[in-house]
Amino acid sequence: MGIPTGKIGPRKWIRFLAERLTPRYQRDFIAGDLQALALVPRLYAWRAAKAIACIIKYQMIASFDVWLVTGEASLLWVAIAGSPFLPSIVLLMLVLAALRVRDAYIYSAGGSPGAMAPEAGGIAMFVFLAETALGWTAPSLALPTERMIQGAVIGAVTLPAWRMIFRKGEPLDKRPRELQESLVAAWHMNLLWAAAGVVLSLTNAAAVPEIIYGRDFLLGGLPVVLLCAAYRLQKDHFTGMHPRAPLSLFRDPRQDELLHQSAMLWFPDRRKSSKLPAYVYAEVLYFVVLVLPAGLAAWRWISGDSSAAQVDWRQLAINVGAMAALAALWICIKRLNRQTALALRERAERAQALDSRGQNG
Amino acid sequence: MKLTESLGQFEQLILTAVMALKDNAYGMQIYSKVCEMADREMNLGSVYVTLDRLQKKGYVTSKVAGGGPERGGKPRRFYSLRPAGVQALTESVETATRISETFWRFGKWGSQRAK
Repeated sequence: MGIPTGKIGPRKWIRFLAERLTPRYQRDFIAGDLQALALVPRLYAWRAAKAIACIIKYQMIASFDVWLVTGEASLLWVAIAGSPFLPSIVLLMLVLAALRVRDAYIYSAGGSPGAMAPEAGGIAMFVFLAETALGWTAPSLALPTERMIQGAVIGAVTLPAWRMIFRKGEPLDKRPRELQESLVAAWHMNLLWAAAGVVLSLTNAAAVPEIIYGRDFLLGGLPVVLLCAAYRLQKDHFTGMHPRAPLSLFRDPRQDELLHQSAMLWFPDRRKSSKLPAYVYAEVLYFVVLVLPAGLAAWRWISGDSSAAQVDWRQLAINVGAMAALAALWICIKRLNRQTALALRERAERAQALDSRGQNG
Repeated sequence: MKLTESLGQFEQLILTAVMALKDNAYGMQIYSKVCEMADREMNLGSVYVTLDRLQKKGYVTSKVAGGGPERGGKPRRFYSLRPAGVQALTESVETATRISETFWRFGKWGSQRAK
């Protein structure tokens, strides 16, 4: 089907209005296309309205973030604290709806301190206008004047600040997104694994009662110390924490961040010359300490010691099974850390190479 | 076996239009081509929205170029298919072909047509 076109283009003001009402990210392209279609004015207005509505809807969905909205609602609720319930809800709904429309227009631009000022003015003005309109049309739904001023002032200060910090950013491209997901997964695995180790060492101590004073303290604390030592021995820095480079105009902070993320993982900073570097001994010792109570219980039983009767054998059997699972899982976790760290380093190096060739915008 | 995410009908139309238009695949041309293929009027906004979504999925890539006087100097965004887009479109067409074959072989209308 052909597209009906006409010789007479739309009036300037219609074109201007359509252009202004189109969200920024597609504004020029859509305005150009509509102009090139050379539609008759009524058709132009209809097509423009449909296109703008579609893009606003898409942008509103893309920019929606439940935490951002929850924060906005909470801050506004505090701003109008002490006001009657129904007018407060009405104002909340109006402001949140207006902010969603604003997000549709500005997404995916990042928040900046510069953007806070017009947003603050806009929010204060919107609250004032909305309440004035409600005061004329439905006075029972309008806030008392002093509450309206309080809401406009506090809202204008707090909401833009919240929005600047927690505004939803544009999703990363596929590869960086996968890397970030891998990084988060690696950290979750590391922490859960370490927590499982702590639980195991505590239940071990309970299952095999101590006969030498201070053994529980040693068995409870030593695994944590060994894990920290193993982590530290892989790193070039004394604290084991990779320091962030100071911000510089001459260096892309994203490269530093990638290197920092890579260095924080369970993976040596540099390839070690020895086949069995010191951190491996610390890891092995960690497992030895974990399995030690089971060994002590077995020795008591074999040697016919009377304290063997106090051992909770069922708990111990479960713990030995859990330890085997932890050891098997450790191999997978280390592999995940290694792969993620290498991928992050590779990405940082590639960005650096592009940067040095002057191609990294 | 399917390797890529399945495409919606409108996405198939858009990708086909981009493929057919080759070097001339920008908003208005794609829109016209899609209207022609669908045989009905479409929403220009949904064409842009779908192109944006396809770009985020990695099926198309785009570059911006200057516009001519017919557009009031407004820029144009040219789209081209990426290998992942070609693969997704090929798989969609293959699925559609299989559906079509089955439909005409076993469907009520198919048996009528065979007569």
